[in-house]
Amino acid sequence: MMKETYLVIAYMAVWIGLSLYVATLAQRQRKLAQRIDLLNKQLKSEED
Amino acid sequence: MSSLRQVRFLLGKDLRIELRKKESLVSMAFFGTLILVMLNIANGIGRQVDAETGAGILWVAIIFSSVLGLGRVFAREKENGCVAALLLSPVTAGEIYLAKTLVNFTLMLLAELVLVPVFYVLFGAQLNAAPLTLLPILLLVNLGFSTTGTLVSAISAGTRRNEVLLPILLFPLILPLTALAVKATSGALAAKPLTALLDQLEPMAAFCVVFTAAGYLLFPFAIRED
Amino acid sequence: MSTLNRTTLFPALAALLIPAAIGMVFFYAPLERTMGSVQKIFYFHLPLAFSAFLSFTVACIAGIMYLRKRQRIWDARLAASIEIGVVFTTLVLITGSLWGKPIWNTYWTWDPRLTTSLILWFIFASCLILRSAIDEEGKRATFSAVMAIIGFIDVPIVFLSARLWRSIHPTVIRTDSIGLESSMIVTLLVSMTAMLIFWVGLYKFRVALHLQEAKVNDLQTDGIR
Repeated sequence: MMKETYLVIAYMAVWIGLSLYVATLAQRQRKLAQRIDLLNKQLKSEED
Repeated sequence: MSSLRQVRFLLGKDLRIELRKKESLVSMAFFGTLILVMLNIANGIGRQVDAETGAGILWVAIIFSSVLGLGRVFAREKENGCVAALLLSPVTAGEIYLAKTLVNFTLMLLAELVLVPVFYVLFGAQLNAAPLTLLPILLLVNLGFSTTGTLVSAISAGTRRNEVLLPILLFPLILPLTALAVKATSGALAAKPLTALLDQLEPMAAFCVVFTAAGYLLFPFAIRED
Repeated sequence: MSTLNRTTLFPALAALLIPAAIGMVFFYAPLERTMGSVQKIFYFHLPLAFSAFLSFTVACIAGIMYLRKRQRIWDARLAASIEIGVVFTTLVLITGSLWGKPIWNTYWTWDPRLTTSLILWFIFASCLILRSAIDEEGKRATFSAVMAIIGFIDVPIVFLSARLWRSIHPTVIRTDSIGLESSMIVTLLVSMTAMLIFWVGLYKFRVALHLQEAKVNDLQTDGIR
């Protein structure tokens, strides 16, 4: 393999890895927002 | 002085239970022998091993079988709700830690009394029989394994997945100790004198000191049930 | 400056600096004489390794603080730093072996630094497994704090013993003997800064996420009947 191939693979691994992690966190954040919405609705229906 | 007496009392209690039921010791020796036989077959029947491979085989058998005994040390107390009783009694968490470490140290030593001779029978044809240089290595690993293992087993016994978590948590921590022990043992099996092994034995002793101190300080947090 | 408040400051800075750093690595930094283009992995390998080690230091401090104060914020910091540390160490190991293959002609060698990173990865990944196995919040925090502290204590012993357990050291090209040119140092400093700012942004986000999740859990268990 060419030396440049290793360089390219390494950089792709780093940035794909980091963006996957950020995406996982964003997904968790979104799920949390959904749960908060659900709780809000429950609270409102109980008040009514 | 009374602290020493309490440690001795707890140690006596655990060893007496072990002597009556023999549940840990028998399974440790049996499992260890089983591993040795399996590795002997895996190595190719009738093929001799050199000192380095032999050292690795011996330690795989000892470490894997010792985890069995270690897992029982706290699981037994948890099953019967005895940890709460121990914590209510006038012994400190540090004394419980020392007692459990010594229990595990003794169990490992007794299991090794079986495993090391079996190892020599199966693999020893080309190896130097040097029980006197092997002894300090065995003692140091037993100590390091017990001090680290007692702390980790208190943690894993507090979860619902004790048997799975114990080796997962423990093996990475004792990896340096194991690697040094393998190196030192391969020296001993190649008939090197004890003074030539000091390069490995000294960091092993340092490992024991550091983890005894860390275990003694951290154990109260690991054992409390809140 | 209302849009650039404290939560978006670090991600915005990272979004500016990381492309700049990548640009510098490929268009500004000169080719290293013996290793050629592969050496450019170094500009992100080293900052990643540094941030990973920083995470584990933060984890150890957060663990000690949690055991002393028993506050949820320290557990959040502990959880965030362990998780980010494992992610970063994984990337360090990947980039390290991709660098090693063309240079040392092997993906893996038991060099002390490689060994230390691998064992660190194992210890803190096992911490993550431990956290996933416990449901009670207090117990999870206490146990993982103990493991984080003892794992951090293990680091110097691992490093010391990794130098001793091999008799023959491979002739490893050391980063301190490369002889960095000044333009290389500038590139390294820029990518190091970019990575550290990215780390801080990630860490703050992860801590906030943990706290929010814990609060919502509280609400669901005892707030609403």
